[in-house]
Amino acid sequence: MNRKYDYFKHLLVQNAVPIVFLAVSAFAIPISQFSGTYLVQEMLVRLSRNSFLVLSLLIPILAGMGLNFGMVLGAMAGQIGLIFITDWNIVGVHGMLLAAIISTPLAILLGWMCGLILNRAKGREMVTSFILGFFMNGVYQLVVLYGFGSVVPVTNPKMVLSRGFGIRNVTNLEGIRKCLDNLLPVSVAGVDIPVATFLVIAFFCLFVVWFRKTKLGQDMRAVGQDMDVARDAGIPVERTRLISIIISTVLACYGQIIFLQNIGTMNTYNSHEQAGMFAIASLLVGGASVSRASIFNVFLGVVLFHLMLVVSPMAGKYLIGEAQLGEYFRVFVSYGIISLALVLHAWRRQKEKDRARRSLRGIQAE
Amino acid sequence: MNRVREFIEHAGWPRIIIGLFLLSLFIIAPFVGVRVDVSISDTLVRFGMNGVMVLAMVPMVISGCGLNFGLPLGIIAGLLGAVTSIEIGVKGIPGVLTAMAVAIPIAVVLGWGYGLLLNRVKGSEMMIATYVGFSSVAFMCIMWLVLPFRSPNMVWGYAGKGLRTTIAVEGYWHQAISDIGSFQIGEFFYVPTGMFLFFALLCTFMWFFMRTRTGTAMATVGSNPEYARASGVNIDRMRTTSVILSTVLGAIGIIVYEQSFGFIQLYMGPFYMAFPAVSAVLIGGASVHKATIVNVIVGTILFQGILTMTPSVINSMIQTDMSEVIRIIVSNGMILYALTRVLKVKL
Amino acid sequence: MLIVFFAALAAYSYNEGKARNILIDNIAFSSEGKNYEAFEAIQVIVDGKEPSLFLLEGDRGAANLIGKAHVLAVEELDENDRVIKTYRVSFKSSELKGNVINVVPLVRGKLPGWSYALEQ
Repeated sequence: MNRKYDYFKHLLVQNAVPIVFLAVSAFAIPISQFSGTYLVQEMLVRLSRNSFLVLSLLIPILAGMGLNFGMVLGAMAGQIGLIFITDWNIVGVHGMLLAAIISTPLAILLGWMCGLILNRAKGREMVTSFILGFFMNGVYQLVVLYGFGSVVPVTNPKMVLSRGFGIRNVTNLEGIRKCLDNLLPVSVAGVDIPVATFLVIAFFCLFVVWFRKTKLGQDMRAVGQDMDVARDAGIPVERTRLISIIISTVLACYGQIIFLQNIGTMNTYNSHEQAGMFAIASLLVGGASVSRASIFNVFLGVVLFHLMLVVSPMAGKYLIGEAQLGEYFRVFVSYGIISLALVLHAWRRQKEKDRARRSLRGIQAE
Repeated sequence: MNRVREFIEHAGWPRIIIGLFLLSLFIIAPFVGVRVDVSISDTLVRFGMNGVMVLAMVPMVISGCGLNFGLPLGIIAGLLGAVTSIEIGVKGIPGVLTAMAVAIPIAVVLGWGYGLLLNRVKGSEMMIATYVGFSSVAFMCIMWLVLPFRSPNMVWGYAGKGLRTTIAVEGYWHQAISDIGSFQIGEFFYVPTGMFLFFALLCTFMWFFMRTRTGTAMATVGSNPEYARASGVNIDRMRTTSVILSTVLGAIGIIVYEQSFGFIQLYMGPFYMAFPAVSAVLIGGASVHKATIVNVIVGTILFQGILTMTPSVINSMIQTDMSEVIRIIVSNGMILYALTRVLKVKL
Repeated sequence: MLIVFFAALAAYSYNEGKARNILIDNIAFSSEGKNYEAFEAIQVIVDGKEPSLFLLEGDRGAANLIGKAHVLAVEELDENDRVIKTYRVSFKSSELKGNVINVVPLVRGKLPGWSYALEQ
């Protein structure tokens, strides 16, 4: 009887975050007065749009690097690729492919740089990647706001600011809008399903599963569990960590392209910032922790998080009479969730350390 | 020659480079049409404005809690104090004092809770501090709309309730502290002596505090926790005290900032405010584990100097506004550099 | 080797995806002493895509060409807007000498001058 209670309690704590979210959503959905069909359609779209980005976070967690806030760098690389294809007026799936191909070397470079920096900040990877994201945002702005149009030739004058250089705040991606989504359109009971996108996502999930079984994947898991033990076992720890970040950055790059092709317009200077924040929040909401994350966490998280995103502004409006409040509530919950998940994880880790230390001391005291 | 080399080693190359960069900006300034007296005056004013918040970084670094990315908590306490002071309608120095009197108890309570939280998550303090800071700012956004403030200077005109995003302190205690003993040379050169005096007061207080028993205990907790525990110091209590101290300084700091700036910024205003303070103290030579008052003073001057000079000089030079971007790159670059400094092994 | 693959894919995507905005004219055309009248009313379908262009005599319409090879279907209409005759012409993007196409010489066997740059 006691064992079962413990197990249940453990399950509750382990999955506290998604449970809380589920509860809040269950409460808020009826208040928001959204119809079921609308929500299902909306969730499908968001799944297809965001899953890839969230999936890119899995590999660094495997390698013990924590939450890769540096995925923003990959998003930026993807956006630069998109700026180019929009300028050259390449449309359709070809445009998307080309953007992905152009951005890949850039993403690899950025990921390599990020990995190097993170290797120098062992133990503080998350804060470092967090700040690195901000820093690169500055560099990105430098390049896109000043470099494009002056140093980098831009032929399409519609994309350039009135002063002659620098890309406009909003880049119209009309050419590739929903190109992947509409590649294989399927409609079920009034709900559009972007089959092609899901195929890409499914393919990538298979890739992740396969990757975990390869030597490289196993190496990463070993590094993630204990760096010193891995090093003793002959695994090139630094290089493995570096590779994990590079892979993650490139995937984030593709993920951002998929995301933007669905939306169809790009906020040249803002789209990538949200990418990191939302992806990480989604993953955490899905029950993942800083040291452990599965594909299930990804999809569950995306659905729950975006459900809350969609529902709370309306719920806030009907509940308190102020839509703006719902907006703030949403921001608060997003950040609060990340804090909660981080706290729970760190707390658990510290308790384990304390327990280990106490048991050691207990042995010594005897 | 040896003395110079020692100085360089002691100061560290990044600081020297930044110092030289700043100096060169001041030298170039007159040639590109930027008035040097305005620049110096601006730098001085900003130094006073931000100094206290940078000082708030010190207690937590000393006690091993890392850089206080959760400064927004203290700022929120300060904001509450400030709006309460305006709601009551007190003017001048008493206005400032009222603000502080309201803010400090709130800061103590918030700092205490925050400290308890940080004690449970040793090792990940900085990350959690950041998000706790963000969440609390977001939470306060809701609160600013809901709290029952009525003063017509502060609420939205249409509905009559809910605080505005920016509230002017003009007419209440604008420059109340700055003006103490201040003097003005010519049209552009204003020296806010009052702020400097206040800042010096706090620095002195800090300096004395670090030499008291509590202060040294705090430092021991940060540098050598085992020894501290062996000496009978309650580590958690020391850490909480440092967090409370840091939060209170943050609250005082934002009030000083506001009285000089002239506006109270609510809602998302405080969201990113921890970062300039963190950058400043790091530029001054502090690290994640070590910070002195000298770091604070030097860092704030250098940081605010660059923030003031770079936009005006570079804008005049290439006729474009690059200030925001440069600000982002410099401040975050500094934090990155500090985070990646490999720890020297302590034996 | 992977690089070669990517480069090839990139080249392929670029060619297939490159889009161009062109203008389609329906104006009288003369060359080598022969004069051709513009069509009274035509419907132009570009690469089989909707929407089709409806052009009267002397009209100019805009279309989007994507990729390398294109097919233009020109349907001649009578007064009741019924299709009298359909002309089908294929051409490659590389054959374009500018951004404007005149259907009149185009359908009569791609007489030289069917594609020209925008005057101005």
